Amino acid sequence: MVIIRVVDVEVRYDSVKALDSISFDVFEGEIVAVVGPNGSGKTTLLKIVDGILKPVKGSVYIDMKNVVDIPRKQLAKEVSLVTQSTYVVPGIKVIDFVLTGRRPHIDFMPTRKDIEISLNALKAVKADNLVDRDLTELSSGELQRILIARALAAEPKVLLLDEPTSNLDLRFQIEILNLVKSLSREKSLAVIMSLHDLTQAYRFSDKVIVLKNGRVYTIGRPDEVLTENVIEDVYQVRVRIDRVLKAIIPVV
Amino acid sequence: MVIERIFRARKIFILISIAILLLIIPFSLSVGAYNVTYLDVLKALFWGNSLSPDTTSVLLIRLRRVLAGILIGSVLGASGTAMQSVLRNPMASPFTLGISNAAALGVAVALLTGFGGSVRGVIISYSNPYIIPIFAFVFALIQTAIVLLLAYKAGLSERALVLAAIAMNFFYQALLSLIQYLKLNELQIALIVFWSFGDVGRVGWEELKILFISAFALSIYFIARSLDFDLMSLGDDVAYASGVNAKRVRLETSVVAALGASIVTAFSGVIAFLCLVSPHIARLVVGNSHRYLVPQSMLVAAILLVAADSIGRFILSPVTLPVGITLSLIGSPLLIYLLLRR
Repeated sequence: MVIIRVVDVEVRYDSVKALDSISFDVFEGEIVAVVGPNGSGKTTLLKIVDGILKPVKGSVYIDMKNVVDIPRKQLAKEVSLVTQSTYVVPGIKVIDFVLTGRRPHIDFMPTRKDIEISLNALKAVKADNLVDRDLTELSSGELQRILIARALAAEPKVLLLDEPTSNLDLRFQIEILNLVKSLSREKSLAVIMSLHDLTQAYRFSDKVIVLKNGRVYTIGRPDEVLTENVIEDVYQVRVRIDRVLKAIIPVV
Repeated sequence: MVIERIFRARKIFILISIAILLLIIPFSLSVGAYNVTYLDVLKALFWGNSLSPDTTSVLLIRLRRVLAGILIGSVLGASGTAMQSVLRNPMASPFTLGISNAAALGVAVALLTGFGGSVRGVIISYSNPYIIPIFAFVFALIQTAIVLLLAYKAGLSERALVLAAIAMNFFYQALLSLIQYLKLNELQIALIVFWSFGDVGRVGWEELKILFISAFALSIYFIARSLDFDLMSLGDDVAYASGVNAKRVRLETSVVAALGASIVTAFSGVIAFLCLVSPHIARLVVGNSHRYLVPQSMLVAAILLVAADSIGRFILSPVTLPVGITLSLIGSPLLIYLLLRR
């Protein structure tokens, strides 16, 4: 079932086109990786799906409803975004932080149910042991898991991750992407994540969108899309793809 | 369960603070040039023991100060916490918007125009005791409106708000200095200086009613917004992605906090320091979750203000020091300690 439908979207920052003629579908339980060079429009694309930015042309549909017609609070229940940068304020405990993810469901004060759902979100990312820790005490990998738990606490249908593996060492990168994959499968979550690492996009996604200068250069299954020619064209770098290792290796 | 332990501990800290405040009230009633013992106050409060008319009158005056301290503390504690959150700045307060200088300018204009009182020799006679607070309040509101309008034009970011406030603050300071330099005599300048000290003793019973309504409305609003404040401290994008319009919350909060601080300043002068220090102390106790931080800041501010006022009454007895002075004397080292501790 199609959860996200993006139709002919164009976005401008003043007079500069950030995205142009973007169209694609995302299905329930599907993981989509958005790749492309810096400034190609990856973050802008996520912000469009989350309704943070409004397209000047085209439409985004979540569950067949146009995003511009969905009240902000309702949209926040259906789509959760994990941004690249979050202010980590001292004195905030993990449970308080994850509870903020329940904000779209809370009218006045969090109830016992909100606390339980937040705790379940922490369990889902295997971080319930961190519940009473201060955010500033966490490692980068732990923090990333908590950010995802916060997003899950909203019980969304769509999870948007903006470069979820940046600033993580290799072990945490794999751990986070495995986690995303299992969450997507278990909860039938549609996931769109922007990634820099093409090998990870190759390994962990069901579909890849390659952006170049704000346009979709190509879209499809990772093995169809991430070819040596496409990568050389988009990134201006020659690579070799090792099908056995499932790795994309730059050739200098 | 760990979570329940965390929440219970915070509730206990809040209850302890309420207990400290309740204990400090009879102490504050007993302190001052006129001697009443702590025990006499307790007996009068809890067993209805009759006191001499003189003692009763003194206690009523002190009770007014104590209640003023609690209400002013509540308003400033909550407003300071809210402003620090929406401006993402640990040194922010409603006075960051430049309210104190604007209110002082209001007092100067009231005196300059003769509305605030006429000067004859060394005597100022007031036509109406409410004129000066009204001028202070109106000028503080005008300043808030100008700053918010300027910040709105610049996109309502936290930086725009602070920069607009700083610019206007200097402008008001210059106007105030100009009026003082060219137009006011020593007595009038002394009055402005005295007014700016901040003193809970000026608050009468009628003003207490207004303060009570303000503190009640403001605390309900800020507690209802507490989850939004948590989100705002994480960044505007994060807040918006969770369904909270950060700019609107920033605007609303600034208006409510400025309104509260303007009312307080009009009645009691400038007690800006309380807004800064009490949220930091409260944070040490209950952390940064605003559901607990807002009420805890209110309690800490109320305790500090009542305690500082009590100290101001006995430290140079029979002279009563304005609470603004004692509070800064106690609070400054405390704030420096807290900052260095971070």
